[in-house]
Amino acid sequence: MQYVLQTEHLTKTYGKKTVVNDVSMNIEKGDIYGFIGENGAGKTSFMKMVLGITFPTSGSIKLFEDEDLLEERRKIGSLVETPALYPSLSAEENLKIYCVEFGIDDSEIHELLRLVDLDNTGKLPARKFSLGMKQRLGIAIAMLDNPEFMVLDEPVNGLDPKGIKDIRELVLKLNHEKKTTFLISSHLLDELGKIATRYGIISKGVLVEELTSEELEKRCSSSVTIKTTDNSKAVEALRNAYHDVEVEENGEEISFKSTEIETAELSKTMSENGAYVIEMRVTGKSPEEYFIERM
Amino acid sequence: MLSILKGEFRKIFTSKSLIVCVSILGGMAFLNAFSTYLLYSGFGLLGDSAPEVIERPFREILLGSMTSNSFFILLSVFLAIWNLRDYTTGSIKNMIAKGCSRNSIYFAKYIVTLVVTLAYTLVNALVTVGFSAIFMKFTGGFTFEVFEFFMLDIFMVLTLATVYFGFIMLTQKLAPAIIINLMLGSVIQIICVVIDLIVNSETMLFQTLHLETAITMTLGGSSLSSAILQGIFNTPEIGANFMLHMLIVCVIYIALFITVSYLVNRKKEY
Repeated sequence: MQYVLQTEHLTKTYGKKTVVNDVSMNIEKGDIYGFIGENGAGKTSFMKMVLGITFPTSGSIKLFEDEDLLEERRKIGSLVETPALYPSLSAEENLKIYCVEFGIDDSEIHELLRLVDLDNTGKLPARKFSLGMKQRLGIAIAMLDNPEFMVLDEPVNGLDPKGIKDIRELVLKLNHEKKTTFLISSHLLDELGKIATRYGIISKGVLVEELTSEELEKRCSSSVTIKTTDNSKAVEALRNAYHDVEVEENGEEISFKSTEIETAELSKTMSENGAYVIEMRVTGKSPEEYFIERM
Repeated sequence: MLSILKGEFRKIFTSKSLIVCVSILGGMAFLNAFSTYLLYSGFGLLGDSAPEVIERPFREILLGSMTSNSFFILLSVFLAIWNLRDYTTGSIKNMIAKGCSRNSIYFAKYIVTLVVTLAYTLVNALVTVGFSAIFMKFTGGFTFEVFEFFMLDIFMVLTLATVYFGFIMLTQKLAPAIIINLMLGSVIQIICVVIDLIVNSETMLFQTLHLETAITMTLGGSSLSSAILQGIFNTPEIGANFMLHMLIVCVIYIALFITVSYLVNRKKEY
């Protein structure tokens, strides 16, 4: 498996303030990595170091398993902070200038503009674009030259629901068809939840946790807590009846994760084994609640 | 770096400020030629005493095209606007993120600065001579000596452009860069005058460190320049080696400003 991004103990300090603290992250090819954190957590600072816009105070970065970052950055497309546009130029002219500067072919400009729904803007200068239009042009610039890795900082900022859906579908399309890898930061956790394959949670500059989408689903799944007349018999009955379930005993209560065990079925299993359910409650959490807890 | 160079030139030629610059340049050249004509024709007050034909040395017109304040003001302002476009729009981040090195960007901008300055100077000279030819008759012609000093003046203007570029890249902010570049000439001139007074220099050596004054010195003894300037130019210590002296001054200026601004730019974060 090839790694597209590897950072080791990456740290950034401004004076006495540490904005990124010892972050070691690995992103595999084909990942859609959702980068989550509160405002000021260090997401943008981290991305800027990866892109070379700022310099790390310490730590290392590898791109495509190579330390020659200048060369490998040619395979990256990015949108960090606000879109950087030439305000007096139209959408097409903006893309053309970037094509010239990057030394790349401009034959796909019209297709790119169509993909981000800016193909009807004509000669309208970018300074007259709405926030959403500017954001979409920024994404188009990031997509120039079919990058293998895209770093997107709040890409759906300012977009309407249709725009958000379009960008989501575009990300999934590029990921599925071209195996493009993504590092995306967003505050729209529900939106991120629809596309991310892995998550990194950063808080106060520290990478608190990394988990896959499957692990997140497991941690957010419903948890059942019961009190019975005989907990030892209840635990044995649960383990015999449901082999995949992990049972935890917490004092007088027994907890286990369950999304499929019916209440009636559970009561029947308990009573057949001599343990009668006195109290039962079901709890679960949304990914949003999980992330906020971890941040 | 070649693609970045192409991009820089494309940005200049798609910039509206280029049209403004060329228009102002042409307008100022016309006004300078016309005001010179008015000056030598007595502003219409001499009546029958006014000369029928105004004759001026070609040297004065050609080399004088680079001595007006507006020439330097326009140059410093527009170099700042063109060079800082990427920093004011934030597109410098896109360039760096796409693998363009800070070194390549820096030197591409410097090369474009020199090319644009050269074009600016030549166009200005051409337009000034052209408009002047409408109102005046030239004497003296385009001699080898005039050519030599014209080349020296161009080199001094390129050196001045390097100084402007150095401050532009050190500040990377439009307003401070323009303010510093506009004030630069006056500040250096005052410093040079004070040093010359302190050391009681008869040759006024330090004033040659003020490039705009040095450019005026090449007008020579047949210009409107004051007796002091004529004296400076003809002073043995400087006059005979004036060209070599100024070449060395310019090389030192270029080395200093490029080195400092390059080293600072390498570590800039955005």
